[in-house]
Amino acid sequence: MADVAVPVARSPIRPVGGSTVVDGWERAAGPPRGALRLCDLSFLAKVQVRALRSGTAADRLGTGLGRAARRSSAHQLVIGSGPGEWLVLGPQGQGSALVEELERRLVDASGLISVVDLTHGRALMRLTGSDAVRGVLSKQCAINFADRVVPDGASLRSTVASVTTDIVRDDLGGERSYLLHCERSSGQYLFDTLLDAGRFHGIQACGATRSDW
Amino acid sequence: MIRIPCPFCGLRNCDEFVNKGESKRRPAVGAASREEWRAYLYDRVNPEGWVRERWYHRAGCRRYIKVERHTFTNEIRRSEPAGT
Repeated sequence: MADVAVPVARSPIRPVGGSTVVDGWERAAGPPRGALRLCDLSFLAKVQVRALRSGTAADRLGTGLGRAARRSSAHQLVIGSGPGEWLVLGPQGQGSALVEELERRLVDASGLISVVDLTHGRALMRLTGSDAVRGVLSKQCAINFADRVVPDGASLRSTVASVTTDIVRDDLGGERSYLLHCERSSGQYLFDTLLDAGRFHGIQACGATRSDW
Repeated sequence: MIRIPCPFCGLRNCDEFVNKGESKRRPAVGAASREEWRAYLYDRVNPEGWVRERWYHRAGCRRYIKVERHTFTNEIRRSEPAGT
């Protein structure tokens, strides 16, 4: 990815520990550190698909309600975020391409279908670490995050610090990790609140690396 | 605290929902009298006992659901998607 001097897009979350510009996006530059980490991934492409809850479109997207699965060939994470509602995450800068690809895949599916690029309208962050991650989330969310209730690959929508948030359990190399996706205007608040809630556990804000995606 | 079993999301805190009031059948458009419309819009039975309500899962699946709730104990014995 080529660095340019002037960002054309900014995350709703202020970069912590310096920033860099990657392909037009201003991103936090701090390296990952500590056992418990929070990083901003708002630069990833985020596309919402709405279609019939069951049928051709649901079959082609391949992920049911409450689950998230990777399409490794396309570097996509398909999240069943609601009944008849999916969120597809892709690499930075791929929003338009992702919309076109999804529209092609669903062109002859039955029922009304909408595919919308939400990249610049939402905030996305990743909370990674040991079991302390559960403790941090439990301070702000009423969901039981035990493995039997929210295993790796599970997805749900609830409130975190009173902000409606999509929560996706997406472990990284065996390390417990959650993606948190909310409205752009609530992103900074949610980020700050999680940092505050994790202070006791030694949480660190850091920049994203390739392994975070 | 009231916990509502959402048919899509499972058991959730009622803070995630919006109560949309007692479930009742909408009068036929064009055929209903003014009195029927007034009753539909404003009259509530409000019993001390079981009542069928509509709730909107604002912070979850964003679907309307039908719930049978006891207004005195807040016990919920049934929930299903609206329109079923």
